[in-house]
Amino acid sequence: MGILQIVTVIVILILLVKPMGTYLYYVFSNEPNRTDRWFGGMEKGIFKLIGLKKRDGMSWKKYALSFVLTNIVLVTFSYIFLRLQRGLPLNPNGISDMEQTLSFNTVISFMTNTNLQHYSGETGLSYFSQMAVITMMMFTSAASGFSVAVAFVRGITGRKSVGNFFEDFVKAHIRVFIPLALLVSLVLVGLHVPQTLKPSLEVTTLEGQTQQIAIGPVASLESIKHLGTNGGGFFGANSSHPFENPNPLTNVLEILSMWMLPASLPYMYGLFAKNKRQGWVIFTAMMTLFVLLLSLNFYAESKGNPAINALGIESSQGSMEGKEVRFGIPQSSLFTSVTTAATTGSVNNMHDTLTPLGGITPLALMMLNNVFGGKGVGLINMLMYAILGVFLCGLMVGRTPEFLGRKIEAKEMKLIAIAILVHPFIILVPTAAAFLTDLGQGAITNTGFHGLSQVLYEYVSSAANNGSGFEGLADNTTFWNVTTGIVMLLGRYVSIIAMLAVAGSLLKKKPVPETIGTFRTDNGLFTGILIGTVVIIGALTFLPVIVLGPIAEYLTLR
Amino acid sequence: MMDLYMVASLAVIYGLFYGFMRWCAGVVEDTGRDKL
Repeated sequence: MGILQIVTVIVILILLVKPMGTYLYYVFSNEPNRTDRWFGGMEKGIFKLIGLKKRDGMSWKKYALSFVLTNIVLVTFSYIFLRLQRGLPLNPNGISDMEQTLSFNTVISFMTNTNLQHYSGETGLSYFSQMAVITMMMFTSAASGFSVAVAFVRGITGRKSVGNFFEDFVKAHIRVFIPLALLVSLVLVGLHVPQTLKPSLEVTTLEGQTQQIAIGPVASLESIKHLGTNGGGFFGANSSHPFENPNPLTNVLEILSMWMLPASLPYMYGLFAKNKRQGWVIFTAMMTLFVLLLSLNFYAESKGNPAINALGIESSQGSMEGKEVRFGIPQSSLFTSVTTAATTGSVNNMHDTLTPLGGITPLALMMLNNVFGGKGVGLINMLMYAILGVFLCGLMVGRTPEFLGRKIEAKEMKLIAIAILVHPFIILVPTAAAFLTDLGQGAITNTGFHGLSQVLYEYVSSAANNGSGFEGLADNTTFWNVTTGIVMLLGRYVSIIAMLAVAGSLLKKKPVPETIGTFRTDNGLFTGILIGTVVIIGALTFLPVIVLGPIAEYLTLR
Repeated sequence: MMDLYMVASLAVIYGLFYGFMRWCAGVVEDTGRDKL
């Protein structure tokens, strides 16, 4: 029955891929289409307002600069709002100004689409901050990432230019995120998720005590939290809180909300490449890796905790520690896998209490950072591995590698090498540094191998712009706020800038005609090569630290 | 004072990204020929 629940959600997802991918293609192909009738007027008004009458294609440098500068403006305003929230409107609960290093961490976290939360939303943010900073950035960071992914796809598929950042940014809001968020918000409200600006409720308990129950504009945040693969919850307990995720139906809706857009992007890429099989190759590679890692988590959690099983305690329900009874193992396992694959970071169960083997799944999905991925970055990363796979095959047969009819040369590989290497670097170096310093060690609440996993998870989550926490780590300190803030920035911008440069480089090249000797990238063989490349690079980079953390913990529990 | 440190840190890091972008542009423009 558990497997059936999981399979049903995956089947629904696969059915959504084609219509959603086609819709995204029409939105971003900049060719006249039916969606212009619904959104064209509103967009024209916005373009006029921001002085964007002529929407010429940009060079990759101008596109990247526009992306970074837009982010800087939003970061500046958000930092000011968080620091002054006590005196700003919509603060009925009298929430204080956010501390400086925490504000630094929070604005970076939301601007980079990470949503790592070193605060608890219900006590740390006013309603104004929840809406004007958190929810606003959930839209803008997702739209930024989406725009960059589309620009990258345009570049490697040989369009005229990578596009215009501001046009893509507006379109991502108007045609994708706002309508979908509105729809999902209304459904969530219908399923009993609160949406109000009233202050917290004060109730008298059965014992006669007074209790505060936090409420607020939850549904509107919840919808974009998942659609934009953001993950930052209104409440500290995130999607395990009954007001954020009241029942199994909302759970499935939230899973599909965060999974649908990243899973549809490969299909959109296939349409841009004028060869749908290219898109299906990417999708199949992603889904294969996802199912393998999901299976590991589901198996480990269903088997239960070996230490508790050894005590003779009945464990037919599996390891339910840290999980919600209303979701059980299957819906928790699927949520954990999707939230880390799609780099959302919301949680409906506590990842710190996953069994050691079950904990490998979220870690591995974030370490790979290309299994669906969020806000377009997963697609960019998987295509980066596809180019690397083509390059390796070219080396083996002694041919100049080609991808989508363009030669791959040393300069593209130099940029790709940086994008691949920066990810493990910004995870493993800070993890080691945290263990070397008292400031880092002081936050670890669990000794032994699990403590290593806690620290590792924090930096993996930051670098992959995921934002989920293993929790159990006392991370609201200057050390953790600053170091994870820097890791989030590096994790976001270095690979995006490098890959936009690759797109710009490929765009300038003349297409090479396909011959009988051309290495095909749209068949089953290449799917296998792509999966192999991802697994080999991922294993070579991260297996040692996985062995020191979760695997060592598993061996001690047996 | 701490506000100043945080804002300065953000400015420095974004400045580094600009530098990285310029370096990437140099890589893309590189024709691969030996420089004289």
